[in-house]
Amino acid sequence: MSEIKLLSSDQATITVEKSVAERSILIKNMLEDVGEVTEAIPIPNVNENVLKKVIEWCEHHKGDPPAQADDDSDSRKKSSDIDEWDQKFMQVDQEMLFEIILAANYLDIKPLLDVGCKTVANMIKGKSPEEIRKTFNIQNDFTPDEEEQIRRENEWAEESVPRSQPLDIDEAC
Amino acid sequence: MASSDEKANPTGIQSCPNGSYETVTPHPLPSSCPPSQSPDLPHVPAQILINFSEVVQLIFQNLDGISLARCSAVCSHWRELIDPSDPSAPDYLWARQASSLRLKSPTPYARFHDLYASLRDHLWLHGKIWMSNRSWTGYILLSTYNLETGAIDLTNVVATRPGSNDGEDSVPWSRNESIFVSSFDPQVSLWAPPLLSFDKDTVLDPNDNEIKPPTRERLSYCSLFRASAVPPEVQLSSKKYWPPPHIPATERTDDVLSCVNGSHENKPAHTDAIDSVFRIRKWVVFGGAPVPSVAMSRNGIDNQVETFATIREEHYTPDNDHPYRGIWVGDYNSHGCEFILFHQETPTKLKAVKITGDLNVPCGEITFVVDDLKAVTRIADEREWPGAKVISAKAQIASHQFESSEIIDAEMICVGPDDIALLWHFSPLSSHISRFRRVDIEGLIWT
Repeated sequence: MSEIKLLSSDQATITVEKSVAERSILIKNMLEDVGEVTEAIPIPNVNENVLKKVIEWCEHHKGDPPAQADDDSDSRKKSSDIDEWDQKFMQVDQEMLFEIILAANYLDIKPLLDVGCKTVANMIKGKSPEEIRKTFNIQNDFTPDEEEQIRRENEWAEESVPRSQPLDIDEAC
Repeated sequence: MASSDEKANPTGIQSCPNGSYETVTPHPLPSSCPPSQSPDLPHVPAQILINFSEVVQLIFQNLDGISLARCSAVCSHWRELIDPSDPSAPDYLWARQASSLRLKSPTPYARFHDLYASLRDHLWLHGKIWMSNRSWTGYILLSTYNLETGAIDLTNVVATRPGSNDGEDSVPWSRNESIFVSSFDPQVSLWAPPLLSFDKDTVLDPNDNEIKPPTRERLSYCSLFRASAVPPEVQLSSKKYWPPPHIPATERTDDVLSCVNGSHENKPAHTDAIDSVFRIRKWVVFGGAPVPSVAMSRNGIDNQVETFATIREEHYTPDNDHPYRGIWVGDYNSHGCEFILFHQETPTKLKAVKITGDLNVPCGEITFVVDDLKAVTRIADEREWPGAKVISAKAQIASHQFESSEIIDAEMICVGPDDIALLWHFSPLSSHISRFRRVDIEGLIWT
């Protein structure tokens, strides 16, 4: 079984099975271009902790069938359909969760990016705008006039009965 | 977790994917919408949620409409992604919310946001064929999007036989001249105006949980209400359920039920209702006053409540192994055209069930079955359909009101993928050929 080495942004070398690393389309394409590599492949945007976490995910999912190209365009998938292992995997502090999303985006691991985005979507659901701002530390930059206009446009969404609170992931960290 | 050195360097976060973030918004965002932490310790999640439009859009794609509306009120950057300030920029996140309508443009609405806000409570209805439980004959409604009014319409579907009168164009069958063969080219169309239209003015009446169209001056009214499933384990053999047992379905509801006008009884809330059935109440009002509701029902006392069940797309869409599967129109002589579900359960077994019926064999009952589609008894050599496979079948006939039904021998003549003929052997001396044509339901829904 062939193995390759990855070099994280903080200069840690991690050895990983080639087939596992190839869950990353970026690495897969790179390996196809250069052929045999002996030295570590630099992953300049991902630190050791995050890279290890990403590899853990790739190892668990190495047997998955390859993702269909853009199969989510028509049938919008519900964000509740995160499998149990992935749900547990994503129970990390917010910062790590977003680092994983960024790494998945950079390394081009679409299924991991999807799971990450669904996890964040679940953190948003059922919350008011103010609660969302608080959860993610985002500043309200609207003028009072803009706020009033938005309130009018979104009136339809506020007269509804609030949906049940979805699964909430460790936002306390 | 990132080391503190790493965190202190925001460029380490922002330099990621080929520098290609910020493709959607022209905002110089970190300055216009900063995270509220001190600049020397950037809050990573907030940084990402503000700076990486691509990632943020992926997150938004996983939200329901109400959450999306709330996100639009969080900060100006998110608002720009969800509800672009440039009116010519498409609000594609809202288009996704209404993707089941398969629309390229939100017309007549200004934006998909408006379309979704108006129709969101009715989207479950759309794009389906609905089978009524009205006694004996039944009828079909189709739920379609009206490009002119921006409403979801429930409209009757009718099949007519041009040239109408029986036997006009019948000619003796070359194989047996005592049997006549007619041509059959039914016209299937929507019978305007719609029975009900649903848009933002269609409201749920909290007094009785019925969804009512806007009040207009007219005599006859109808309202729609939801229904819940009766789980298979509590279904009683003495009671009837809708859709009827021969129609494939995962969920069924009570066929008929007492349903008092103005009450909440038997009218589940949206959350408890299933999307594959609904009920419609019809009534008439005389003198413009809504109080004296007058009955139109069979027994003349209650308001008329009809139950409708959908036939799922997968049960009428043919594939290589199930080429006959589909919704067909059959020529039932003096009864006229009837809609038939060709339920091809397996590659070899075909059950033709009446979606609409007549006083002899009513809707929901079997009209014919083929036990083994591979058992071809002969290849036709007559001039009407040379080369057609002929397969042995069993057909059902009955007297008035489905009394003394019986199964007779029949033959299915496979004229083409959308065209079959059925030879009914009523007795050794009396036979009849009727024709069936496939209906393009998808074409009716999407045009």
